[in-house]
Formats: sequence, structure tokens, C-alpha cells
Amino acid sequence: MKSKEYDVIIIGAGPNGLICGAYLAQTGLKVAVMERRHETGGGLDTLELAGFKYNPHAIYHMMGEYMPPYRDFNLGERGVKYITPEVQASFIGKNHKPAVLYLDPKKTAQYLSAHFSKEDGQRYEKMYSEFKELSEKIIMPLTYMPAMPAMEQVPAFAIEYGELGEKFNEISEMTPLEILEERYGFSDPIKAALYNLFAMWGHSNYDGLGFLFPLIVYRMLNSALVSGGSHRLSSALYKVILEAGGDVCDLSDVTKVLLTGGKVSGVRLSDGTEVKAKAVASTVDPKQNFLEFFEEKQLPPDLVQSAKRWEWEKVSYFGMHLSLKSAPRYIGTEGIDDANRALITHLGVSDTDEILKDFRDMGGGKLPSHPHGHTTVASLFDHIQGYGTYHTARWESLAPFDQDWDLIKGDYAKQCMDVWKQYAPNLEPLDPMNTLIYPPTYIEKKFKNMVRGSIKQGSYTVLQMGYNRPNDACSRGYTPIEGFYVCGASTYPGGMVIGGPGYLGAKIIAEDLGVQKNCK
Amino acid sequence: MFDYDVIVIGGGINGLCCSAYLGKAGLKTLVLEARGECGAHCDTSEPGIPGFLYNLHATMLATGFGPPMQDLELEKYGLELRNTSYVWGKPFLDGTNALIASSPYDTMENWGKHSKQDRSLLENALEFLYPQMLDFTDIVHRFMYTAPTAETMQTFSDFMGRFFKHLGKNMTGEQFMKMNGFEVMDAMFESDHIKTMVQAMEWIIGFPPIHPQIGAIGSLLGLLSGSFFPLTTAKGGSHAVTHALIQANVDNGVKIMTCCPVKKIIMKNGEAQGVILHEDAIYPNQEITSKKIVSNITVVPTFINLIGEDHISDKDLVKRIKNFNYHEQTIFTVHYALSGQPQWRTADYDEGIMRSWMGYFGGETTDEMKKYSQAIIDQEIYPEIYANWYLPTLADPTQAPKGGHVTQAWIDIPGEPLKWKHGKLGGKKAFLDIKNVLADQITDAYDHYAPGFKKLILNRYIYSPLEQERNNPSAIQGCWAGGSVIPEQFYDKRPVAGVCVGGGSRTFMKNLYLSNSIHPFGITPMGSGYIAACEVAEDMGVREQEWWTSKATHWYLENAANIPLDLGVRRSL
Repeated sequence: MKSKEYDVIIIGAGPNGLICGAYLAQTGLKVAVMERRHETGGGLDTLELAGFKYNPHAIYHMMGEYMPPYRDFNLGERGVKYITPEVQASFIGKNHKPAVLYLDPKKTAQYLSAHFSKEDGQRYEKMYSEFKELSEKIIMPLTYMPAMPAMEQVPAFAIEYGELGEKFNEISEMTPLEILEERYGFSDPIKAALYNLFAMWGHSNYDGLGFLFPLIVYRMLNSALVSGGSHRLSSALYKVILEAGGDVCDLSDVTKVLLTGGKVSGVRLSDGTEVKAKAVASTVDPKQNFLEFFEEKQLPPDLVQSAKRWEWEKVSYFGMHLSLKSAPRYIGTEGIDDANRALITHLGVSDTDEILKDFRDMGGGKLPSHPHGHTTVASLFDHIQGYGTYHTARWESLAPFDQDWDLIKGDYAKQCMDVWKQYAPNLEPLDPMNTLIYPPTYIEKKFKNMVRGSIKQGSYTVLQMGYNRPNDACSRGYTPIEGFYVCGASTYPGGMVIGGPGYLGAKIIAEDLGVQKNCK
Repeated sequence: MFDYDVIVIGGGINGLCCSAYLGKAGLKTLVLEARGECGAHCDTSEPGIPGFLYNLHATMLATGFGPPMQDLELEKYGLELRNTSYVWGKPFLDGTNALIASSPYDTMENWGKHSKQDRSLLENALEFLYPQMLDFTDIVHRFMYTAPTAETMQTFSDFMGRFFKHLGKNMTGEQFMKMNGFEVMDAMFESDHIKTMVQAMEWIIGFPPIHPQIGAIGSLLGLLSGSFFPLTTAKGGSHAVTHALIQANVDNGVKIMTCCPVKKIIMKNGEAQGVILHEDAIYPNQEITSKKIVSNITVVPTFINLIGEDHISDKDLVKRIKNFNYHEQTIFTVHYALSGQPQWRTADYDEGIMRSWMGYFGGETTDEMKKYSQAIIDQEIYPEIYANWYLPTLADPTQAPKGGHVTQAWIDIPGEPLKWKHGKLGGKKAFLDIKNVLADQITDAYDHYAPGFKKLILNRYIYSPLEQERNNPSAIQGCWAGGSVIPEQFYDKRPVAGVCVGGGSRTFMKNLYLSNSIHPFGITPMGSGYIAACEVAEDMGVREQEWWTSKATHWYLENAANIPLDLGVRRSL
């Protein structure tokens, strides 16, 4: 730590903290980003082991170059290159041909026409074009604008966006499955495939996320890897901050936010060090923010209550990271080689009811009857993540947090590997006894704010999304505490690598401190 | 005309040290690193259970020893050293242990239990050294941080002559400089326990005792480790050094590009003029020009791959370069996450071992150590496990969750093993097959010296030479020192006769310098990077800087007392 006094201290050096810190450091403010871990980047974590790169957390970047920080910080010239594979997703089933979804919707429509039905091809084109329009004209821009209460938003949309706005409002009232079934007429296995683009993120069909569904599906069909691994993004942001004179301190665990005369005056770290600041912006979760950083008596009671009610995610992830001797060749892909070149290959996702049932079971702590992994061989698209002709591979499947993972993780990994082999009989790990196994409990161990393996810092439900994220007093980044701001994944617009909260947080902090934020 | 003043190929810590100095001196500098992260050999990672930090390569840091600590203000950039009150512990099966402490008095107390004579000798040695500290540190600075010269070696030799005279040993400096570590130990000490402990210590710092001159110099450094030659960990693990260097670089205007492996050095009129990036780089095939190039990726890849033999007219030199030896300084490591602290069986003899964060077990006698040394040269995996162990959490508890510990045990091993006790082996690819069995053997041995060890294990992670080489293409055959430290490749002969001309890092190729494979070889005091920085700066006319003045041991002698000790030690019951 270069100083004991800053203008702004940001808690957490994940993507939102680093983005917020980068904007603010460039305004000339004296900024420090404090990170609890020994490494910065948060979910932008890449392990480089024995020649292979593994991304145990963030890997599919849905906003990529769209995100304002990409342009504002010239990240393209700072070593951040996105690779958007031509084949976005394939779905391998035991009872049907592979479903293949391309970056180019026309190719997908052609494929579905040829291998499923002409109607499926048409449905897909219609859906894609609607989702694209809704996303690009409404939802994506909103990601980088302050939250608006639903009561204002609905009529505002109808006025501003006309017919499209009405369409958006209509879709928002539906569940994702209703959208797929009723609006577009899909049935399994294509319905299951499209639904899984949403469900793989741990979202429930019944949590009022209709408004988000078009965005998630559209972006999951335009998803990218960061060349060299996700950590290249945080590494670039880290250097932006340093070059602008900011400070990034690892092993700096903030345990208290200090108030003087009711106003923020700094933070205290776990080792007792106190650091002064005029403003503190937190990117961690509401429970730390409002139940740990302050004494209860310092906060308005409903803020405390809202934090106590904060819900963690219902399901988490089980991951396996390993090196392979050769790329997997999936069953049923004879003559359909594109199915082996998808960014994500979903295994056994063919039946929507099964997906729903598994989700319910997992919500109750049960292991799914049949783990449905979504797998990625990053080195197929980004050679530098593998080693020579060997590949780096990743399995991820939804899993309940409440299991004795220390006891079962080895066996569960074997079970998942067996499932994977059923779909890819040629699967041959290079070093079978040394697969990196990553149960849900490890997510919580690594990231204090991802309680119960909540990779988005908290469940996506109507009560915690949009203007309610984390609650209706704080979703625009301000809090009732003078000088304290929130701008992490538990703040509007939400989690994943979208940069929205950090971007918005920097804007309001800059305004409050009377400086100009650089953005294009 | 040129894109940069200097390009440093390879962002290992010696490369980063070199670039930081040059950037701070005002040169427009670029670092190109093939991996995603810099500091391949100074890496801290969580491949096991999150929260348990494994230092995958350099674990003991001698960074506090050298000029960069002060010149580059590494503390300002977050490097906080951590240590324990004992730095080296060797438990023996007879229930005793031999220790080296941070304080020489504690060392003497332990040695006195083994041999009154040896204790006296140590006391005499320190009595000689302390009044001459300035002279001695000057000699050490010249030896480790300047280009090899006959004069420096002679001064060193003369000093050693005076040293042995004071100790009452019938040995001249010249004789000393021809001895190996075993011979020096025999000449100085009577206790075989003390001897083997120092042999192990010098081996771990890169001076295998079996080699003449190397073993002699190593034994001196080994004796002075802890007290004078600091071996510490850092808060957050070894990569704190890398991070601090990166911050120092960025702060001094240096550009660092990772995932940018270099394919070729551009040659024009027999001069190095720039680089071409590999097609796998983030900016594929990009050409970047610079006035000077420093290569941190060791001698063979530099000249044979990046330059190409066609550009080297002296074919004998090409042959000598190709024969550069990377066979020694290869290790096989097992990392463990533990639920508690290992309980060494000899704690009753001297509880200092429970406050030691590094040590060695096995090699109970000099004879055994000699056999072990020879086996490695013979490319055989020795049937017994003699291992170095580290327990950095005794010095820095942040490297594991509360109550937990991380430890590693590594054995020196041939990079291309041809046989072991179970039969023949086919070189380094054999590691893929045998690594789990070898790891089991190491675990058993650790448990033998620290009963109950196995019950503490929550996770283990194996790092064989195969992993090492894949992780870092410069660690050829898993060699961590940029090339074997053997007599033919030591001091002024390093790396290969004819490569370094007119300095320690200047090569026969105009504008090309080496910061690795040269004297004093890789590792954390960053002597190679420092020497390269000095010579590039001299040649560019920017060496004279008011901040570029620190010498070996200066920072340490001033700050040793401020390094927190024993932060993770818990009194054993």
C-alpha cells in the first residue's frame, strides 16, 4: 500500500472493482482497490499449470467488446483479444441428432431445417431476430444506464420504444419456457437446447426472468473466450489503474467501513490497518456490506432487514479441469463435424422436464440424477491455452451446494467423467489421476462474496433484480450512508462479466466528487 | 526509427528486474512474455484447495539480499518479507536435529549440542567476519552482481585464505577454491550431522556440493544463510516478488505484453534489431524493433531458436552452445495442503526445528549425500528419498486458511532419468507414469520424519520436471537455474565459452544481451538481471543514476530487524 489516505477506496478487485477503479484513477482521483485474496481479478481467474490454462470461473464472455470499458481503455491494444467461435453451441443427445447453433443465425436456421424440421429453422430465425432487436435496442444499452423502477420503466418503454417496447413488456411477463413454447412454438430437443442457454447459469424458469431471457439467449449465441484466458482482461485493467497512478493492493481484507460524523471516512483491514478515504465503493455482497462492514446501529433498519433477506443462489457448479490427448469426438457427429467444434457442448440436454426436475432436486440439496455437463475445449479456438497437440478441457455442471463435497468430490468426478465418455468415447485425459476437481464449496472458499457458490453474488429473482438489486434504496449505486456506494454483481444490473455495476458506480462517484469521467 | 530502446524477451524475475532498472533509467522498454503471467519461476497458485497457496517454483526468496530491493523500491510495491527464527532444520533418525537460525547465537547453541569444536569454529568464523563486514559484503557484491573477472575471484580467494588462517586451518585460498563442498566440510567440521546439513543447504541454493569450486563457495554461502544471506518467504507467497516487480515496471513506464511468445530475433547486418512474435501470440507475427535486446530465456533457445545457427559464423561456437548442459538443478516436487503443522520427531532435542520454515530430511551421512549426488549425474533416481521441505506458513500464515498449512517437499532428480529402483526409465516422459508412485514415496518419507504427517494431508499436487518444462519452455529438462551449475559452466565460463564477450551479459552478437544462463544464474537475488541492466545502461549512457546505488546486503543489514519472524508459529505441545 503506497499510502494511508485516498480519495476513493474500492473493495474487491474483481471485474467491477477494477473497472470502477480504472475510470476513477483516470480522472485524477487518488484511488486504491483493496483485494482480500493474493491475486486480483476475482472471477477472471486463470490457472496456468504445466503448460495448460484453466478458467475455473468466468470463461464465456457475453458482452466482450460491447462493454464500454473495452473501448474506453483501449483494451484491444492492451492484450485483450476476444475469440468468438463460429460454432457457439452443440447439443449431443443419445436419442437425436446433434443440435448445432452457429454465430450466424442463417447457418443455424439452415442446419435446423436440414436436420430437424423446416419449421424449426423458421422458428429459430424469428426468435433470433426478435431477441437480437430487443437486446441491442433495449436491454444491452440499459445495462450501462442507471436502474429504473419497474413502474416507471414499463410505460417509459412503451413510449420510447413503441412497438418494440410493448413487445419487451409482453415478453417480460412470460416465463422463458412460455416464450419458447407459446411465442415461437419450439418443442424438445430444440426447446431444451435453447432453454439450457439460460438454465445453465443457474436460473429458474419461475423467477420472473422473462425480461432477461432474450438477452441471455442472444448473448450466449455470441459468446467469446478471452485469448490467453479470462485473467488477461483483469490483468489489463490492473495495469490501467497502475498507469493512472492508482493503487491495487492484494492481501488487503477490508473488515470495516469507518464513519466519522455519519459520513464515510475510511476502512479498517483484518490486520488492524486503517486507511482513510472520502468515499468507499464496495463490489462485494449485501451481507458483508450491510451486516459486517458497519455496526447495525449505524444503518437504517430496513437496510439491515433487506440485507438479512438477501438470497443466495439455489444451485451452484461442479467443475473439472484437465488436459486431453486429443479433442473429443462426440457420438452422432459423423458427417456433422461442426458439432465437435462448438464453444460449448452440452451433454444429454434433450428434455426440458428433466432440466426442470433436476433444478428442483438440486434446490433441495439433491444431486441430479444424471449430471448434464456443458464442456469446453478452449484450445480448439485459442491454441495458446493448450500445449502442443494436447488440449485444455473443462466440464461444468449444475450441482447443489449442500453435499459433503470433501467426501464425494472424487467419486462424483469419476461419475461425471463416465458420463462425458458416454458422449465422447475417445475422451482420453493426459494425466487422469490429476484432474483439477472444483466442487461448489471451492467457489465459496475462493471468493468470500460467492456464498454457497453464488457466482452472481446472489439469486436472480424478481425481488432481487432490476431496480431491486440489491434493494430499491441501493440499486443505482448510492446507499443511505453518505460516501458509501455499491457497485458489484449484487447491484444493478447484476453479475457475470458485463462491467455494468462498476461502470455505473464510477460515474456517480465521479459526479459526487466533482470530476469528469473518461468515456467514449 | 526503433519502436523501443530495449526489448526484454521473457518476463521471468531476472527479465523484469532488468527491465525495471532500464525503464527507471529512462529507456523506452518492452517486456515480452510467452505465458499469460510473468514470473514463471516465482509463481504462487491454488491448483488444489482454494485458500491454500502453493509456491510452485522459487519458494525461498533471497530477494532481500540484492540491490534491486532498494533501487527498485520493491517494498513500496507490496513486497513484504517474512521469516522464522530458524531458517534451516535437518532432523535425523537418531533423534537429533541440526539447525541454522536467523541469529548466529541460536545456531551456535544447537551446534554446541553436536560438537563443542564445531560450535567454536562457527564462533571464530563470525568473529572474523563481523569486523570485516564491509569488505566482505563488497566482495560478495562483486561476486554476485558484477561481470565475472579473474580479479574478483582472486580477491575472494585471498579473503578465504585469511579466513582459514584465522580459523587455524592449514588451507590457502587457492586450495579452498579447488575443493568441493564435501572436502570443505571435512576440513572445517567434525560432526557429520552439521556437515550434511550444510551440504543440503548449499545444494538447495544452487551450489551442488559434489562440484569443485562450486561446492566450496556454496558451503560458505550455506554457512552464512539465515544470518547474512537472507532466505525468506513473502506475505502472500513468492509471487509477491513478481507482483512487486510488475508494479515497479509499470510505474517506471515499462510496457509488459503477455501471451506474446517471440519466434525470431530480427537480424540485420549481423546485429540484433528487433523481434517477430509467434503466430500464437495475441498479436500474431507482429514485428517490433529495438536498439537493444535482452534475452531472459536461456542460452540455447536464444541462439538456436530465436537467432538461428545460420546467423552464427563460428560453427564451433554453435556446437558448444548446443552442448550447453541443462541436466542438473532439476527437481520433483509434491505440494500439500495440511490441516495442521507437521510434528518433527526431533523436537525434544531442539524445539527450534518447530520454528524452522525450511529444511531437509534424509542423507543422514556424508557418504549417503555423496552417493546421492553421483546418482543424479548418472541419471538415476536414487532409491532413498532425501528431500528439501518448506513450511512457509510458519513465517506467513496468509498462505493457508486459519489453522491450516501448506508444505512442499522436493527431491533433486535427473531431468532425463534412465533408471530407478524399479527398473529402466525412458527419460523425462517416464514422469507421467511414475510421478504418482514417486509422490507416494516422498509422502512416506515425510511421514517417517514427521509422524502423523499423512493424516494432515487435505490435498496434494505433484510437480514433476515434465510439468516444469511445459510450464516454462526455458526450464529445459526442468532445470530451474537457466542451465546446470557445473564447473564447465561456472563463473567466467558461464554459459559457454565465447558467448559472453566484454561483460557478464553482453554477447558476441551485437545489441544482444543475456539475463539468464549467465553468472550468477537465475534465482531470486536477481544477479543476472541486475548485471544485464548495468551493462545495457552503460552502453546506452544511462548507468549513472542517483537512485542506482545499492549493493548486496545493504538493504538487508539495514532492515533485517524489521522483518517479522514466526508469525505462523504455534508452540507445539
